[in-house]
Amino acid sequence: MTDDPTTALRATRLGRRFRGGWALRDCDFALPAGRITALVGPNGAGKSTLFHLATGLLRPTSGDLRVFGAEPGSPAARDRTAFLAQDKPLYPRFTVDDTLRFGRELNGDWDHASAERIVRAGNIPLDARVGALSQGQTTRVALALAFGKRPDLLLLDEPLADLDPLVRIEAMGLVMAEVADRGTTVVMSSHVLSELENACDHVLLLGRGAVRLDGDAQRLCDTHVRITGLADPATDDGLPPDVDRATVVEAAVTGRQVHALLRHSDWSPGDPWIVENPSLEDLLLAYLRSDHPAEAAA
Amino acid sequence: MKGTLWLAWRQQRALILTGAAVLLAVTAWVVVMRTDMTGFISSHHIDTAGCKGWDGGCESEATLKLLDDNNGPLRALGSLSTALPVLIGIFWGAPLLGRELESGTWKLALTQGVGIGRWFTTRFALATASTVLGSAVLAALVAWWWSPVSNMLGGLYWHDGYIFNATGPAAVACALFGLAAGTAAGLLIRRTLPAMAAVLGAVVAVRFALNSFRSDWISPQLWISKGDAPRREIGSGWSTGEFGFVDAAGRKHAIPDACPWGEGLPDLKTCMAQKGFTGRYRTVYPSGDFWTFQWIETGIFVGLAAVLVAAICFVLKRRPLP
Amino acid sequence: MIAFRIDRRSGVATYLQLVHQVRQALRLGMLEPGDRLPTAREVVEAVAVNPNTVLRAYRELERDGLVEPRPGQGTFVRRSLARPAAAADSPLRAEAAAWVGRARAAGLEREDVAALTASVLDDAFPLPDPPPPFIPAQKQKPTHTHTQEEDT
Repeated sequence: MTDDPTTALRATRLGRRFRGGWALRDCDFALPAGRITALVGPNGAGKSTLFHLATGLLRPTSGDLRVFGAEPGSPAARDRTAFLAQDKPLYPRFTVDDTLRFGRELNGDWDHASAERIVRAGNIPLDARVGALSQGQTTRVALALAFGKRPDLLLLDEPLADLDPLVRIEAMGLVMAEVADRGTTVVMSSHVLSELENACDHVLLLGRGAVRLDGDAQRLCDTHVRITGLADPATDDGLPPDVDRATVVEAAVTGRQVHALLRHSDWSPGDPWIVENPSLEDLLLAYLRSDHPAEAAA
Repeated sequence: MKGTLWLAWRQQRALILTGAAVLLAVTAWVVVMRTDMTGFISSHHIDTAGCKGWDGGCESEATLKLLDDNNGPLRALGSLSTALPVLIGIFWGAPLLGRELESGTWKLALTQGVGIGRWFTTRFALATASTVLGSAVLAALVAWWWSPVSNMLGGLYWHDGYIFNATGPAAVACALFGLAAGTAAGLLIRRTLPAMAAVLGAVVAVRFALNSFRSDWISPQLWISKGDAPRREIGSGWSTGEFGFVDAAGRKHAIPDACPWGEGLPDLKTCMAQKGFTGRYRTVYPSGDFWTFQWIETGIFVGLAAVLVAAICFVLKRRPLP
Repeated sequence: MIAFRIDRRSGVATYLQLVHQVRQALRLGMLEPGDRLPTAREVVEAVAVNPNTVLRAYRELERDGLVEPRPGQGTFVRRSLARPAAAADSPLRAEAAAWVGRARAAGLEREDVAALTASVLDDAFPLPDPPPPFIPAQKQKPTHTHTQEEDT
């Protein structure tokens, strides 16, 4: 295993099986360091499983996962990783002050001043009980706890779920500020694709436990094309017969119109086609839809 | 306090402080009660040491009042000490890991700088120390109060559950077992409330089994009285309830009514002669067996606790926790 | 100092929105030479976008000679875009107003006028690097874009 400093998280034939079957299987990817990766996929695609594997809370059934070259859960990996689980668990009976002290006592390298600054910036009293905080305040305290660790890799599982729009921007702003300050690598899962679009510059799309898309966000947008035109009545999908079907991510016929997302190929649409580059959200939605062929057909 | 010890203290301080307060109150109560008792004994010149056994021969208004006044409160203290392992299992053991798993905070705790080994060891060590200390104090209080009036007339005897289960090393070991059982239940069931129910069932079941089978572990003494001489008095011993006749060959006949007594029947001596009995016997555990029983049960509880702790360590090491 | 806003539904790339807002502020005199632009950290904390987006916008402005980074201090405005000729009471605006009046009198709709001016603007100010609507297929390294076909 090469210890490549530019790779924060590397999976090699990574698999994890539960009683119900494989949550992840044969996954290969390398998430770049210093970037903000969007981890996308439908429910049950294996996103949370991947986070738990990356933090050592789960062990892989097969294959291997490395955090900056170290085994997840090892002291070296734990020191560099901070994880915000989906339900943002904190001790409800602790005060905010206790919660920050928890971070200080359990971590060798702990930046108490900046953790406290994040809490104070949210006007959260240090003597407040965590259980009495609003969801937005809880998120802020949880992020303060994560940032106080000075992580090199920040893993955020649905950090924006259940937050109102203002708090979403606030929480995301905190994460982005941390990235701007320290160049932290972030892997973040979310269902709010439009917010990922502005924040993330790398994409890892999971579907049914497998990697469906892994790459630089801009590059993915540049190498896909959204086309709209007159449907070809001779083909099932309405696309001209000379289109390489392996490049079709999705195609939908509505009346005489066909609307499709393609990967680049030698085929180039002619004049009557409306051709656009997809937005990241559009691209991800197309891949997410094509993961559910039954629903797309309905 | 530093590191994981601070965390363990912060999470268990409510239990420790509550437990300490209750223990302090109980201690004060016991001191008052026992002072009253010893005052009564000396002012009425009761020779408690010379008055052991059902038939101690010291029945008087004063001794009966002494026992009347102290039996109830001693039973209450004994019950508290007997219930302590269950209480510790429910309120200390079950949430020790169960609450972390239930609320998801284990994900928080185990992704910090310290490893799972230190995290668990510290919190379990603090709980163990508190358990041992608390149960030892309570067991000592029971013994201290009971000893002047022990094994006396209609009072409490060493083999009564109120005393045997409430004092001695076995009481401390049982509390340790309760803690380990609660911790294991919380880890395996992952939810606090069902884990509490499970540990309640487990500790009560083990206690019940031990109380039922206690007399099977060592053989009682055989007390033989020759001819038609009266059987030897039990004193502060624990009768197994088995008695009968022995024949010339030394064989025991556990038929207490072989020579019934009544009008028109031959007297005992004649009857025994007719049936070839040469004496009568009973089997008894003398009061000195208290310690034998105590160490046996201490061994059983400590062994069970050790097995449970080993299982907990195995599960924690293996992961996944959830 | 200025505060940025991001319209997530506009379809305009985020860094371009930032560039436009700085130019707008320069044009309207809200930013003047010597003013410091907010740091990337300040911007991303407020609008929750990737820090690289802000850096890209600032690089774009720097390339246009509008701002300059000073190491350790921040990014500062070099020159203004405020033009007296574009002010509300300028003769040029009066001439434009008169021309729009004639177009309207000639029966042109608002959209017709907009299309006409847009085409004149395109002739007068050609875009430096118009983004191609469709980038031809590239020989890309398969390691970067890993996709899997439908298998069921």
